Amino acid sequence: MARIQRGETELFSELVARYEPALRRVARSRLGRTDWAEDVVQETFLSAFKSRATFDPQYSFRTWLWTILLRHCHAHYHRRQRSVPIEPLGSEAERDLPAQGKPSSGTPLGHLLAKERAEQLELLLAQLSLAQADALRLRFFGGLKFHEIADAMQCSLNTAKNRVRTGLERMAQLLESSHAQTGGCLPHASESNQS
Amino acid sequence: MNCDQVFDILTRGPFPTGTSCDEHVEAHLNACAECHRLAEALRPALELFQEAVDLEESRDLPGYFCATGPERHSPVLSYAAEYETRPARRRLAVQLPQVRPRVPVAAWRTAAMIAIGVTVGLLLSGGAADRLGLPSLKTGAALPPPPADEKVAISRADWMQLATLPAACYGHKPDHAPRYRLRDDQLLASAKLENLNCCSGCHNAASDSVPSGATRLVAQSCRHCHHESLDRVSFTN
Repeated sequence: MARIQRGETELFSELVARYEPALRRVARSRLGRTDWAEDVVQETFLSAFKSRATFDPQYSFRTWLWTILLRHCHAHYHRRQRSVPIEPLGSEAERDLPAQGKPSSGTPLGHLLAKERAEQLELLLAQLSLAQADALRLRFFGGLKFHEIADAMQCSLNTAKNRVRTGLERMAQLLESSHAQTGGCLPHASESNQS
Repeated sequence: MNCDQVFDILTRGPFPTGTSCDEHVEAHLNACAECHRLAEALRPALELFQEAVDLEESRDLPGYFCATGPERHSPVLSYAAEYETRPARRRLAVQLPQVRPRVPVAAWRTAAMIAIGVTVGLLLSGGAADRLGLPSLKTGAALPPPPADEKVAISRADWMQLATLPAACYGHKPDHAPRYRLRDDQLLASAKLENLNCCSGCHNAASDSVPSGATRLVAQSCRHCHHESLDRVSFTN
């Protein structure tokens, strides 16, 4: 980033290539639609590029970028919410999109299971508080360290850890209760590993 | 390896990672009931995340797999290794090792801890001591240490009744925590330890902080089973 600030702006494309998949995944999970996620990621990179002169190299570029993304996600979400009802992933809007889950087996069944996992995950994330869900997205989709999550979410390190922890605990509870209610119809993550 | 580092690793990606740190994490989970409970509680959600995130994509994430975080800069202190190097002693217990050496505390705190332990011991173990013909702790006299070449014969059940275990120790059901299955089933079952919990069930074994009153009492009580003097006790059936 320091070199980009010094005028080597063509290097910015390397940063885009490096961070774009993770940013898109987080944005997609946050907004619920791939097209909106792509818009937000583009806005994020655009903002970062425009503001490159204000970036202080003594701080983490990663954190800075994630902070911008979260801000854009927040603004985009509220902007869209006022005009279009947001559907969760797995709805009609996403049906034809490739699954976000791990295409482990390559078979249609494996593909279906992986997609189901991703949909189940998004439904669970939607039931958490926004802060918990964002912390989990940054941790698992963005691969951020806890101190980076804290910086990006502008909270303390302990708060960031606590959000991840309580979010996971809540998700586990929801998984357990949904499993109990459906009598095993909703496959548990660990069960699929065994089968 | 402390609790924070374990939490960091468990939430960083699939575990076991296949690296050398797995052993340390496992050792910590075996020693720290709180982390073990947390790991078990989080496992369904973590597995769901790991299945929903493409492994190859995860590896592309900066810092997701490669960096090891703070533990890279701090020495990995293996609780298990420390445990193994201690003098051989009879390990009655559960898979949990004995009480972790505490950080130095003020003398008055130590005195208070001992006083609390003795008080509870008087309340809980007087009856059993009377039946065994041992000097009752109610009189204020401590159990005299046996001569080095002489073993004290005592039934396992009575040994446990002599323990100054607070009620908090009995709130745990090992069948809900398979990692803490008792090692010597025959011995421990006859000692009626089915519901025994260990000190680390209430406080972190790796924590540097001095436990508060109640947990300090639990830690003190654990010495009943985790102490060298146990080698001088022979158990009858």
